[in-house]
Amino acid sequence: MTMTHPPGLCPRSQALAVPLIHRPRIDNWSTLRLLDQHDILAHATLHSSPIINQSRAFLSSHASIQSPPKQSSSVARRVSSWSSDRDLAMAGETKGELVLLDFWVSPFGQRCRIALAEKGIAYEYSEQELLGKKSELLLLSNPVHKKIPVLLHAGRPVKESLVILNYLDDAFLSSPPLLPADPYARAQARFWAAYSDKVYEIGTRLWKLKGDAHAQARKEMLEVLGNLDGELGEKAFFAGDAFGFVDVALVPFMPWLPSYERYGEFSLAEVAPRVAAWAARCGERESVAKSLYPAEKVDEFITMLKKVYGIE
Amino acid sequence: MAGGEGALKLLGMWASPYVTRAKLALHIKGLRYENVEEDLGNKSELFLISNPVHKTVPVLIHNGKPICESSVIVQYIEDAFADVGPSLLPTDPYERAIARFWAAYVEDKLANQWVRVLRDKTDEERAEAMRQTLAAVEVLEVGLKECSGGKGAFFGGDRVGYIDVLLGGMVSWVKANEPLFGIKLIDAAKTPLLAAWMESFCELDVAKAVLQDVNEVVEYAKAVQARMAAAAANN
Repeated sequence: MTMTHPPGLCPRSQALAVPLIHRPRIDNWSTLRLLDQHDILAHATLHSSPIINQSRAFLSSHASIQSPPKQSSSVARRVSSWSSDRDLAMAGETKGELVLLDFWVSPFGQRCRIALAEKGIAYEYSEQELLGKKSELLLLSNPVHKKIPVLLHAGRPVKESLVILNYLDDAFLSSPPLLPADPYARAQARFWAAYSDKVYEIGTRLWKLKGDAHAQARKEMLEVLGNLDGELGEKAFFAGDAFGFVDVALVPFMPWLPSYERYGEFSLAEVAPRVAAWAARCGERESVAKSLYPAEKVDEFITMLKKVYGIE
Repeated sequence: MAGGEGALKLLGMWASPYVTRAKLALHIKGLRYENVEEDLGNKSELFLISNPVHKTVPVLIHNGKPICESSVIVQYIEDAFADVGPSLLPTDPYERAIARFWAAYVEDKLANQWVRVLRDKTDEERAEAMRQTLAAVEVLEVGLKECSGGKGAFFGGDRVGYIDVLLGGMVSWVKANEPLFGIKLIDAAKTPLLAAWMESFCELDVAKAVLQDVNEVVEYAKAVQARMAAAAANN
């Protein structure tokens, strides 16, 4: 699951995300690409709407967001501290070969940033405009969903955050693996990483909805956090002693929790105390600290989205 | 070999397409297992202990340890029995990523929408879910072309792979769509590759051994619809 632009901004571009039945038959991949480009041009007039200008103003007023997350120097330090065998293996995997199409506050993009940092893999970060006109590169790389994150490796796109995490383990065998080796432990990791998506999905309903729907979302959030707390137990990280796949999948949602707590009127420390402690522990890791934004920034972003959606 | 195929137990329910996925994977790998039919109206203790989070079938129990969620189960079977039977995922990392992408698509855009056609409460919601499902099928046609790479009728090329199992588990329900809702989910006129896929898939021994009878699925679905209508009327 990845984050997309708020559909309310460009209502017709939401239609683009799903190729409708009324479209001409898609005969091949290149035709699909051409259709997407053409449709984007047709919708160009939408992109000067006042709502989009407001969002752009929000982004440009936060100068720190404009510059890409700092990752190069810390990655270089980590790579050089490894054995020479690993350095040789990594030599082919130069920064120019990997490009991450991303959006600063996206927790799904942050999963990838954290994974790349943990694995000591250099890459080029490319901030994408989602609240206005999407870049041609994004549309060509992910024509099906038109969403970030997309990891381009020597020009070939890998899409969906958890798929990217799996890919990094598969393609960069000389880097520390995110998934455990044991098949049963891997199955547990896959289950709980997918489960962690629920935090974001339910959280979104918490700040968007009111009344019964809000109450339902609150109930589900408490259940999900409780389950995660139970699964973590007394371990340092979800797989045990080592920071890994589930931690990477879940930790980007932690800066969103204070907002969810406010909207949902609950306390993480009460509902899931071990998850709260785990979040603080993860926050001390360089990869996490450098990839996540403070809760205040996330809250500002939610407030902006609410205005965009016209939600009180 | 890790664990050995001794003590493989599948907790399931015959009609569930998710359970069928697990059965397909086990059969393709040539693994023997004990099939336990759960009465979901009266769940067994083993079942509740094994899947406390979702309380859904299938659950695969291997040497006493439970694995839940059909896609996780299929990947587990691939991992734990890597030396047994054919592989379900390609070996090349990029091809694996493509396969995982389309597997996620089958799940998020196709299966999750389609379930709503049965379960959603209003006519509008169900109609919208059907529209979304049909749209997803059209996109999946492109996915089939990308994954098969012209090497065969299956997502796995000339033999079945991960996505074939995930979609294959749903085939009897795909066929049931027309008798139930009057619409062909996979229509040769609109998605010829998927139509050919379905034909080839159903010719396989494993499909003949595992897939549910379509008429039985239709009757089951009608019974579910009737139960839901009665529940709604009583509210």
